[in-house]
Amino acid sequence: MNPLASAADRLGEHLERRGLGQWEAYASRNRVVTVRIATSRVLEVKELVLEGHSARAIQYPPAGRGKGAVVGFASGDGLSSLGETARGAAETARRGDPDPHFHSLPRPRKFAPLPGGWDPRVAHMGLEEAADMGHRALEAAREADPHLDVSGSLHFISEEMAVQNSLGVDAADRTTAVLASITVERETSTGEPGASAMATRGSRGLRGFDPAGAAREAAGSIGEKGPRARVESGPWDVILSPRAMAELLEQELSPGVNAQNLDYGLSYLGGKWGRRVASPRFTLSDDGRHPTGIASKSVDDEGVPTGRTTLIERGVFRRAISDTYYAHKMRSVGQRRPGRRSGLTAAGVRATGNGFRFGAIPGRSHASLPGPNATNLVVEPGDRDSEEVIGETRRGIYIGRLWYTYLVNPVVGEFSTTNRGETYLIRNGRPAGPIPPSSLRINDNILRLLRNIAALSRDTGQSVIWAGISSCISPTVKFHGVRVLAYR
Amino acid sequence: MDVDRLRPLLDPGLQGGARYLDLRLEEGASHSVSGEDGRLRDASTSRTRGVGVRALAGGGWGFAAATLSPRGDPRAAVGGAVERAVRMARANTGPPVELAPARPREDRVETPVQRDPADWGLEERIRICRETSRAIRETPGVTKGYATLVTERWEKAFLSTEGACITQKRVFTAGLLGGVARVRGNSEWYHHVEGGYAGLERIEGLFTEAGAREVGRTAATIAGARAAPTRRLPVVLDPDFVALLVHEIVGHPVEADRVLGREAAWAGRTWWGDRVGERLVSPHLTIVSDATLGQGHVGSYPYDDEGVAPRRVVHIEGGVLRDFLHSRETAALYDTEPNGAVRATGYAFAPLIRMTNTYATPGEWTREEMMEDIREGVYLEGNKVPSIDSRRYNFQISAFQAHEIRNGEIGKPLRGASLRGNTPEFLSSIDAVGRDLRIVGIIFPACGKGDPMQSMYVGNGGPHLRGVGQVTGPK
Repeated sequence: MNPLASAADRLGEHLERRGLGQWEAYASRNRVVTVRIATSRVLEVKELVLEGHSARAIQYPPAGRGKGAVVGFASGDGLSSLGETARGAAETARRGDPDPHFHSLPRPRKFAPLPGGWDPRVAHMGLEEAADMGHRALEAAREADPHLDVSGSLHFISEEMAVQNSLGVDAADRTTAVLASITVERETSTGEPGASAMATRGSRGLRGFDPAGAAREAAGSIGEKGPRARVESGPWDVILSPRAMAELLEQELSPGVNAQNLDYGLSYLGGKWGRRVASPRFTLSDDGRHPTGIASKSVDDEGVPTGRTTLIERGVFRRAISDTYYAHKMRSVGQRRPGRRSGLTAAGVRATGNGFRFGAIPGRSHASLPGPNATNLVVEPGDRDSEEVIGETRRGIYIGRLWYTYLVNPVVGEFSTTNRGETYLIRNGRPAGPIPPSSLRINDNILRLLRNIAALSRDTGQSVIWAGISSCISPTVKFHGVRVLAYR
Repeated sequence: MDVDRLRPLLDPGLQGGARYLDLRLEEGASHSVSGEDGRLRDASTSRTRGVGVRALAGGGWGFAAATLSPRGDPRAAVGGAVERAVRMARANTGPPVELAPARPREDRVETPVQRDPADWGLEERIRICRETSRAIRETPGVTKGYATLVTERWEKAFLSTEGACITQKRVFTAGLLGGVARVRGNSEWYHHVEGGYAGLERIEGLFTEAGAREVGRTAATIAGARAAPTRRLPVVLDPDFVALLVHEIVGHPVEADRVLGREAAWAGRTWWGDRVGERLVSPHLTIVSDATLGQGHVGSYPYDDEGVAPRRVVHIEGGVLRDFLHSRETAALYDTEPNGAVRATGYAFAPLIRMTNTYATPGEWTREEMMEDIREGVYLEGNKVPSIDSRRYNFQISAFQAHEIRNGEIGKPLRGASLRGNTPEFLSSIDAVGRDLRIVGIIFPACGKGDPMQSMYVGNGGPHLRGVGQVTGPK
């Protein structure tokens, strides 16, 4: 038995002795080796490690004394002092008052381990080997153009977990991921923003992982030094690359389809179950078992098997991303008041295998309660090449990378973002001059954008944004009439 | 915390010729209770213990962390982390990193606490969150009321090969009251946060029934208000809005690592670069960072994570760019003294340059005097969500609530208001600075920076400010 499963087993024994209604024992371990490049040098190499355990203790009220249950939670770093954690969770469960919407921990369900999800070479990545890959990526960019400023990082992530509960769930999962992102910039002599380009690589294992290739790609795509295009503020056809789409997916779409936000009334999709919210061209899924998805996992942090959930189907809002708690809560509330307020309905929610615990460092975290979180967000591709999407545009703006894309008002879907790089004007289907980074702001409504999708490419790309927890797989997407503000 | 046993592990002669080593040994516990609509949502306790080690051995930094078991001898795990940190540092081939001198301190410090968090037991915390979330929920128009109470107690030891040996015992308390309201088909949310390095005295005023009802009323007022206009107008900003404005368009750009391009991959650079000594914004504006402001504030601390005692740093003085936040490494590059601005989220992270209490200093105006001259304008209150470009040049920051200003008086409430503009233009338009001052905790959510991203509590704020900007209504 691996150390995490053993810790969950022993923690379960402690919890079992406390006479609880239900219990859950959880343990996780993450290791992240990071090579950080800045100002064209390897600035630091670091290894982050976090290991620990946690317990959920469930106490049901005596018959006739209320619905629901009290949930107590405690966690501790390391895999010892398990009795102290069990006692902490149980004491909390005894002293609280019942949450009427808590129904049960999940029951055991069969799941197949995800093929190819664990690469031992990543898990045991040598520190010097990681640093060497960083140096080679840096050299590749400098060989392409020694005048570029090179920055970025390589991450080698391994995450392991084990979860057991009193209903018979006994699951373990382990996954690895490798990410490389290389940014190259060319500053102007006047201090104005210069050109900027980024290329990334990501996969679950080291096979084919090529940070130096990312560096060469970034250096090759920074663009010509030609005269800059000037654009005016106003409505524009905007084409977003898969990487720019990842910002919209992680920061705008993912919060909108999150069951907790829907329950709180903090989603612009509240009250819109079964209604058209996007162009019929647009289908969005969460796919926890995507064959090449960087965030694919066998099982969530409650022991529920992951799977594919269609969230928006041909423009119609179908389902939310949910853990066990919100699946039950939204079903039961929906049955009581169907269609009202946040539009809670029995049809919209089920446990989708998205009950994850994410914490301080990348990967699963024992110190957090599970909550609804996305895995791989997948946009269904279109029917033409991305070059055709650009070529069919008479007047538009292509943006390769967005930055600081936040929902200014999540309740209505208003968002604001800026162009970070790889931006150019399109005139009569052809590039017509670079547009400087940080010179455009899009201030619009995500529902308006989704309704105004004009085209999607058949080719797709996969990206993980800064501090993102999901992987986003998207085609290049063209939107009509986006509100663009141009800064001088 | 027995640190003496760890000192021999920092002998550089034993560590493959490392030029410098430091370690942070941290242990602590946090408690969190959340209430929702008058009932307990969840209650949790967390214990942490671990070590983070930095090394300079080759041409750059190496950092390694290890989780430690709650009891027992940590020397083997710490020794392993030291060995790995040195190996990683030696894998760097660039020019050696130099550190500005800092007097190695030996000290033991403790947060002064008037009311120990233990005074509120679990039942009391549950009762407080239950009752305040219920009071919010019972306000007409409110569809969700929530309350969160967090307390942390931790101890941190810092040791370095230069002889520093500092232990800090600190207590942190924070609370949040929030509500979602729906009025005439419009939904809006509002929350209020208090917190800092202090005991319960820092937050007990927040968790009152009257305070909770005020949060509920505010949420309902915003939801029932008419949409803010989209126009260029005179604006008066309250200290909570100023907090996020200063955070995003001054606080981040004065981090020396950012100025040097070391955050270029993700967070970006600064529009002002190295233009120290130039007048860049309004002569009425002075903006400082001050971790010595008082231990009750979120960005106050006796020593940073390099063992440096922080000092007050003037970033903008009468509109002129003066000084940046520094680590020992960036201070050496600028040939200046470090100012104690380096912190890590926890033992598992390598420390970074972070804001402390970064704020605009007070002037002489009252809020009423600022509004007297305004025939038509907007009063922006509370901070909601920012979006800033990577050079911190153009920005959009939304306010939780707003009111129109008509003929010098506060008028009707407005919803969905943002302020949009570019940094030099808006900051140059500031023509009146209030005599008040409020430092706000950036806690829920905390400030994100670094790669991998670290969340950090920082303090930001200032007085009321008056300027002219592009107000933007809901889209």
